[in-house]
Amino acid sequence: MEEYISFKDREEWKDITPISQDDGPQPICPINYSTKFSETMGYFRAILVKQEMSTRALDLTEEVIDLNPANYTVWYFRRLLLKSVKFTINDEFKFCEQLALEEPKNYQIWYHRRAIVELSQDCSRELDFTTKAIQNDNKNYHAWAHRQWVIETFNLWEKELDFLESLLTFDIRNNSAWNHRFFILSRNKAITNEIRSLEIEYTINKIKLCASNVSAWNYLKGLMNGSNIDNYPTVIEFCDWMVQNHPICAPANVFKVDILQQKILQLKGKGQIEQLRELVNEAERICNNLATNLAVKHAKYWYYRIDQFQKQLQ
Amino acid sequence: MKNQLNKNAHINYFKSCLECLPTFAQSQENNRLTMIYFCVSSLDLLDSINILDKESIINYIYSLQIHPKDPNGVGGFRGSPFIGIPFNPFRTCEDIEFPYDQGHIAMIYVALCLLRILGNNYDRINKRAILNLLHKLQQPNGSFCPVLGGSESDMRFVYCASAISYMLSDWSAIDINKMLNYIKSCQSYDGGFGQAPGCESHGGISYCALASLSLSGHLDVINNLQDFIRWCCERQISGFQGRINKDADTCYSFWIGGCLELLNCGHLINSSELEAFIFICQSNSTGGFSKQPGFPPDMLHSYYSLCGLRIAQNIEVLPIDFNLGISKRAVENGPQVSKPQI
Repeated sequence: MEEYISFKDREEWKDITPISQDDGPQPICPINYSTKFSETMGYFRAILVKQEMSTRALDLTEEVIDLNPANYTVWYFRRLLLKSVKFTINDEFKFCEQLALEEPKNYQIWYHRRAIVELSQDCSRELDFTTKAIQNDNKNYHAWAHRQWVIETFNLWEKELDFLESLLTFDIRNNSAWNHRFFILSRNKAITNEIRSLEIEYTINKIKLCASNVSAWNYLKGLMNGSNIDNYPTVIEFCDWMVQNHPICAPANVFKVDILQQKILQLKGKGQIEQLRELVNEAERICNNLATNLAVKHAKYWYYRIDQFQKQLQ
Repeated sequence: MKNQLNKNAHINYFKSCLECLPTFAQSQENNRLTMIYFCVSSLDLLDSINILDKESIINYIYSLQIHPKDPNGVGGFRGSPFIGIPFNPFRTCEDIEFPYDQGHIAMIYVALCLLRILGNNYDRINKRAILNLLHKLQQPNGSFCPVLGGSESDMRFVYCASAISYMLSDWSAIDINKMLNYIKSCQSYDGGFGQAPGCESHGGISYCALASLSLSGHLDVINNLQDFIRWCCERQISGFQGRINKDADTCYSFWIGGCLELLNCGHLINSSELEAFIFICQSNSTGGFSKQPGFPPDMLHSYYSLCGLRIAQNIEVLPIDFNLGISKRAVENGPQVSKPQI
């Protein structure tokens, strides 16, 4: 760790008069800045006014970033400097990576990473980099979003399913990983019936490992979006089997309610009142069970669903 | 003080934040105006706004407004005077050149909210300059960047753009259809909204999406509203979690609770569980609320915890306008707001 030398003692900065911040006579939420912060910002302000494009300006941006990585102006200025001053792209990637791993929730760092990938058109490091960030925090939103951007922009779809498998083996409830699976599945090409069937089988096996995992049930529902559930009898059979054999599994019962809702919609306007009534009664019975036993915290929601089913009888 | 709002402690907490923030808050320098918003709006929700010197705060806010020389130029508000501009609350034109000085969409949003809360009628607002900036911030895909000087674009700033247009009663600066298409494209397979198409559904982002639709009068655009309502309700595990299978965090009391309120589904929330969770996060010694038990309080979570208490039917907090996230009276007593004219 280099010892901090005050700017006023640095020979190479002798020509610059720092500009101080003017917070007025009654500043609101004033911050008790450290001397280092005030001084560094003072020189930064001066360099911005000068619009100086130089190596020392580039070094200065690094010092400002170190003190406040959320300063979007310094990042913008740094990117302008990278276009006019000599630098090594690999160093910039390393700098960005180090910061991203230290401050994983900082928007500006992640945007900068994207900007230098775009500038260099070099995506070779990105999967390894985001893997590191995700290993540190399996659900880091920025890391997943960046990974998705890289995959889509540079067509890097191939290795993702293996990557996801290791994450789900570690934590089958990782919703970010399930979401990413859906992304890989649906953004590259359209979901064919064959792919859908394979994914249904995959998801059912995962649900069998952990029946209460909402992520997997949502994924299964997502797979069925926009298609007729009657075309997938395995899904209906599986759900019924779960409700019978794991009656306290809330998500299974919720899924059953969804299936019934679909069937009710199919029957509407076809005059089969008795059949409709039977389906509605079954749906209400399950909603009532959810409200009173399986999902008591969401009781009000399940009573609301009963209301909605009632309305469908009218 | 179990399950009771420690009002005095909170008033002192926000008051002392307004007076001074500690050194580690340096990382918030660029969005100081947001911190001011959390403090002032909290005091408003606690019906204690009159302890403040409103005029001096109003002046401070106006000192952060940018006034372009060119009538077609861009304006807006800065987050703080970090760029080096001399303090002047009555400036009408930028007299000194600060080349990297720029307005930030989130700072415009909080400035407009703050002025309203403090009883100012926008008399010094340069509306044209703000709208010129909004127009330039919209991206081809319909979303918004926060600043012109190179930045990410996402749903947070879509919300700011909508709220700004609503508070200025002028939607001419933005392409609403493009914005709606962007919002639609961000709805996930599970019903919630993600930051960008394909991203994981997230509570804060879902609020930004839904409130933008509500502000612009287009709740009809949501594909399968019922899925969204269920997604929101199921996020309540005691307090609300921001994503599936994550821990509860007080700020989602507002982000997700607020979504349900906007859809007239606030009554579906388990109020007693929500209130209990928020009170576990109340800091009785310092005032304020933390994100989770065991963490220190911060201004953001303190603010959204207060909002969450109102959502949980606690009447010690004033009624909230869920479109803007501020008190109803600040909306009603302030300058005219409006949705887009058809």
